[in-house]
Amino acid sequence: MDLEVPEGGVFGFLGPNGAGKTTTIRCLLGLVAPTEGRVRMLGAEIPRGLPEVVRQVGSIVEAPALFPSFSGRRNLQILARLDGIGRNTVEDALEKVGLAERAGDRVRTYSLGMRQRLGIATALIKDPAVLILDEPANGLDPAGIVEVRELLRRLGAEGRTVFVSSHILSEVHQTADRVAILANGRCVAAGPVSEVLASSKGEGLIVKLRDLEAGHAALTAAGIEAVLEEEALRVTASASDAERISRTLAERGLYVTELRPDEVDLETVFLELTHDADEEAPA
Amino acid sequence: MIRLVLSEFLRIRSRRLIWVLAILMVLGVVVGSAIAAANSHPPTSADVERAHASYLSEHASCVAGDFHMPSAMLGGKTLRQWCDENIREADFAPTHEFVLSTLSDILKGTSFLLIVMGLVIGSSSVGADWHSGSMSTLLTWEPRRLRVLAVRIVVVAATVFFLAIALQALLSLALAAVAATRGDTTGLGGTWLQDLTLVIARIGAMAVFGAVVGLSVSMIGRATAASLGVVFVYLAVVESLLWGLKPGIAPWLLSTNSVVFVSDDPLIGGPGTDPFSVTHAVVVMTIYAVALVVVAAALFRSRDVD
Repeated sequence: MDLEVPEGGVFGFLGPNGAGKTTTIRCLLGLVAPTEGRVRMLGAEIPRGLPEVVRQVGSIVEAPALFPSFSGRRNLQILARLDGIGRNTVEDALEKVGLAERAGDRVRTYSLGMRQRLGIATALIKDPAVLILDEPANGLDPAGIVEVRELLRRLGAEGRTVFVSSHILSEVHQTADRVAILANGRCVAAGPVSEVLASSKGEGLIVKLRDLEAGHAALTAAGIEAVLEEEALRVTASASDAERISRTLAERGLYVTELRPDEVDLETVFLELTHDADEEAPA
Repeated sequence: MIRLVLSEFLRIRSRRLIWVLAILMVLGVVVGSAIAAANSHPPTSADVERAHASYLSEHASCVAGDFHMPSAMLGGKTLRQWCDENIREADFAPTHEFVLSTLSDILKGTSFLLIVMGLVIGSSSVGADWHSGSMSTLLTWEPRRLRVLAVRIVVVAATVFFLAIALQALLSLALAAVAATRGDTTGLGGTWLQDLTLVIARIGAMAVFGAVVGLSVSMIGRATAASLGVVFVYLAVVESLLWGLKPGIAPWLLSTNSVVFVSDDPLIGGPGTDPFSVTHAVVVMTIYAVALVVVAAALFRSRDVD
């Protein structure tokens, strides 16, 4: 895998289960030694140079791993002491993630969403330049997901580098400036979200009409490639071919009820790329 | 480094296990002292005369060589010196009276509990981190693993030593109060206080040894219960078997060296067992502890953290 994450903004890191997202994040944080290759972060070789930059890196790896028998506040205080972070910063972080009222309760009494918020607080109290978040929205309710989305956007807009792995593609689509898609331990696509979307095979037009089968036959006869789907025809053509398509159909007495570009979302691209990678992978 | 030490102290201070063990031990001291007070009352003059006569008779038999002590057991002392040290009048005191001069023997007798306490605290100080997964969180804040382990050992050792000393001091004070009010405080002259202090310090050191062994094994096995099981099975089964099958191995076993170190007595008894010195015990136990720490550090440094 060859992946470069530019400074500043939100970088989405996508991949199916077992693709290697968490392992990559563990390599970045020095928890797992790479079998080969190099990892650099903030100019430091990892893991040797990690102590020099670790104070600028906040992270959550999978579910936040904290002492369940300690309170949320005590967990944060123990970590905060490692960096000489004061009590006020701890209280501010608890307030920011909405845990101030439950800060004195044991973590084992927290819901998954509350633990996730506490994990985000541990990542934020360092005021880090780089945030590495593995599935930060895991376990959050819809309101919490929206909060996290806004938080990530804000942090990215502040000039921090937010590296976020997630399986909620719509969230990443709405949040990230750039993405990388991982499959079978390899990076199969990386770049600005718009570029990755443009790489999709799904580019074309969606055509709706009453008699789909007749429409499909008419277009095929006219040399226009079309796929008959359940509620529409997916036509492999650019937007400039819309006039030709509608005329071809109209000449056969078939009138278009809807004709629009086939908008590709991140989920479609993700599924295409990871499916292709699965097919290419040696058995 | 100082921040890591402060953080580790806050972590260990926050652990409920430490407080539960300390409270249980304090309760034990209170109950034990209450029982001692209830059972202790001044002897009658007849009791005292009978005890004194028994002591004189036993001491005379010893000096006369009636015990047939092998010279190797005397540890370079004359028979009279050995008898003076080992046949003590305090041991013949009427049993219904608590005698303060036997305090060091009581502390030695209860040392096992403090060593187990050290072992449990040491094991769980690392095992709990692996169990909860918080080791990975800690390492994302302080990735220098050897530093993390070294500071953890220092903090756990300091905590266990403090607890062991404090609990022994509490027990000593409580029993001193019992002896002063309802027992016997004679025979405390000479080096009694100094000897008692050394006994307390040695037991504290043994508790620290237990903590370091527990912590190291727990770091290797990454689990509290498994490491405690391994240590207890090793001490109770493996060493017993080894000693039984090959008595000459006793000077190299943890259990025998622990007994020699705590008792400050090279005589451990048993057929085919040569006496060995307290210095030997210190060296052997240090080698055990250092070897375990080195293995734990090497594995902690090289293995992935899930």
